[in-house]
Amino acid sequence: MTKVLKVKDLTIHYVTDDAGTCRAVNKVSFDLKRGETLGLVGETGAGKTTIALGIMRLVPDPPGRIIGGSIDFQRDSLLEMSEKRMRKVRGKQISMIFQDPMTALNPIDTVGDQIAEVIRVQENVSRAEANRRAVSMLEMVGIQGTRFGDYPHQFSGGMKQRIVIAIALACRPELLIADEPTTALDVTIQAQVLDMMNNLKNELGTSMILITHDLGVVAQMCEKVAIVYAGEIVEMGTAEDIYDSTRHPYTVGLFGSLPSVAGDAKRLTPVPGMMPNPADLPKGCKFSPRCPQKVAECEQHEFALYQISDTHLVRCIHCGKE
Amino acid sequence: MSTLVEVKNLKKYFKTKSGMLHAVDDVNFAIEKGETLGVVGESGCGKSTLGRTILHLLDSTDGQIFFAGKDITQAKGRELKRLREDMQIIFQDPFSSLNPRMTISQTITEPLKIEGKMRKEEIRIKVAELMETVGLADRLVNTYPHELDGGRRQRIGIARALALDPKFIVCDEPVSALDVSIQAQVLNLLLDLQEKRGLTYIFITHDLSVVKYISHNIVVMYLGRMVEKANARELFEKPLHPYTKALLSAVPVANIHNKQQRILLRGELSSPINPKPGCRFVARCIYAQRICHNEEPKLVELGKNHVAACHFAKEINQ
Repeated sequence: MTKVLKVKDLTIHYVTDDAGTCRAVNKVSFDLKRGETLGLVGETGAGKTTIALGIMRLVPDPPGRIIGGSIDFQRDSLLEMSEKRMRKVRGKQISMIFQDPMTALNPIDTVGDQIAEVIRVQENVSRAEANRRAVSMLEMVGIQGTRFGDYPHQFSGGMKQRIVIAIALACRPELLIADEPTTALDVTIQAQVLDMMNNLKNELGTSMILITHDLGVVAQMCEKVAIVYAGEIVEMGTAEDIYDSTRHPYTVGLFGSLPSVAGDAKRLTPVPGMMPNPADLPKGCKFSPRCPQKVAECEQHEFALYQISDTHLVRCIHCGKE
Repeated sequence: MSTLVEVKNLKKYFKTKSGMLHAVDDVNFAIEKGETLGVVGESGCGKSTLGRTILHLLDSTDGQIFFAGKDITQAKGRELKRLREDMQIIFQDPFSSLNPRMTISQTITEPLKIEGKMRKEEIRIKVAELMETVGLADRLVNTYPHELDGGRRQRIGIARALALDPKFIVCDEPVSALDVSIQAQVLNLLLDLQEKRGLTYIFITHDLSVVKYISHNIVVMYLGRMVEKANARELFEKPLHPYTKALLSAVPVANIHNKQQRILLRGELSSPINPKPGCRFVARCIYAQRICHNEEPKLVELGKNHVAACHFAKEINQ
């Protein structure tokens, strides 16, 4: 399989006058093969969305700045690309679905026009052709084509998110970045949308980065998982690696925080404390202040990701010793 | 054990331009002292309205509410004020439910001042105790909500609800706005408090794994109606109503080996305004037949302490 995306040592900081430098993303590396889905999992403020914005080159500057690293997309280096070419990549080759379908759509434009607009801008086709394709996109995400002329407020949350997905997939991108695509939706609607995304992905052969805090959604959607903590990947591997042989204490804590619908209720065992402020990260391992397995060395220096199997990487001193 | 809270045929309708909105329609249940009743359902099913109506934050349209054996449906004025010392609420959003211009201590002090039984010094000690109970460091006593993260803010909301030593608390999605690890900390806190103080909770949530974890009994609501009620474990093992079955199967499970068949519901919630006769769930139900369109199903007892409102509950569960 060919690699679609290769991110290496991506580092993004937000530099502000009063709050200092916020180190949102620190040396993040991963790659993605064609048709593969990677889950980026972490809590609020872990830097998941900033990683996505970095790939899209949409980090707001100022205060955001891509400090270093490289992002290779197919044969191109995205970070060296001119803004003009980048605009051709966005929406056409790499698309993004944002978390909140209520704010991602333009309220004063019909949904059909919003889908057709992407096609017109990116593919230089006639208005009639773009409209025709927009109708077929609507139908593909399960909305009647006759609703082409309706406005966003006439749709429910689940349907709005389908429209956002239709816009993102209108030009059949090679890579889709979905930022918490179902967090704002009810469970039965979430199940519908996830099911639809899986079908579309398989049909179009799209690679996907799925950003979420929900380990249940990841289990259902992703072949590969990266756990993000304080701007770093702390554990990465196949879904089997992460779910069946969980290694990093933070990942263990995440699983321990989840009440389960299967099995019987026992007391939850969450990680105590909170994620550090990214403007004031602790020395050494960033998880050490909360870690139940901390040893003195953890606070002295940073750790690399140790490779514990062909696919499984863990950033923890206890995995490096073996 | 004795029943602390009971509602009978409780209804709450809202008048809207396009007709009567049936937010809560004929709900019945009783909660034993020291237990938790989970109320689950999707947005718009009336679960928050239910909680607020019980507390008299909204006036009920019809039906009765009992607290400790007494009919409190019509309580008002001084009687209601007394009652509120025993009945409190924790709100969903820790960002909008705290006054941004009040410090932590002012927020927690306010109910004690309104009650008017304690002297200043007593109040100060009580606030310190409450902060310790919910796990807030005492150095935070003079901070404002904007200086704190969501988990800590929700702890302030809990401390405020506990200030008057209530017997009963409505928890309206208290952990939905929090990250999982913080959510787990707050859930553990709520369970500890229940154990120590013998609190009775109504726990309103859309998160099924949370509700199973915290509840003794669970009510499932759909468009204002109670469609099923059972013991928590029984509901998850043996759901009877087609909506409950679909809802449970839709929960993404954090286990990659879970190959449980999902029931995908077609369509979405219909409008609660002037609902049509017949079953509210009929448009999305895979078992729907003619009778479902014409006749409202009644809650039928199908097991011990297990009721469901479906014409075909027996047939589809054979």
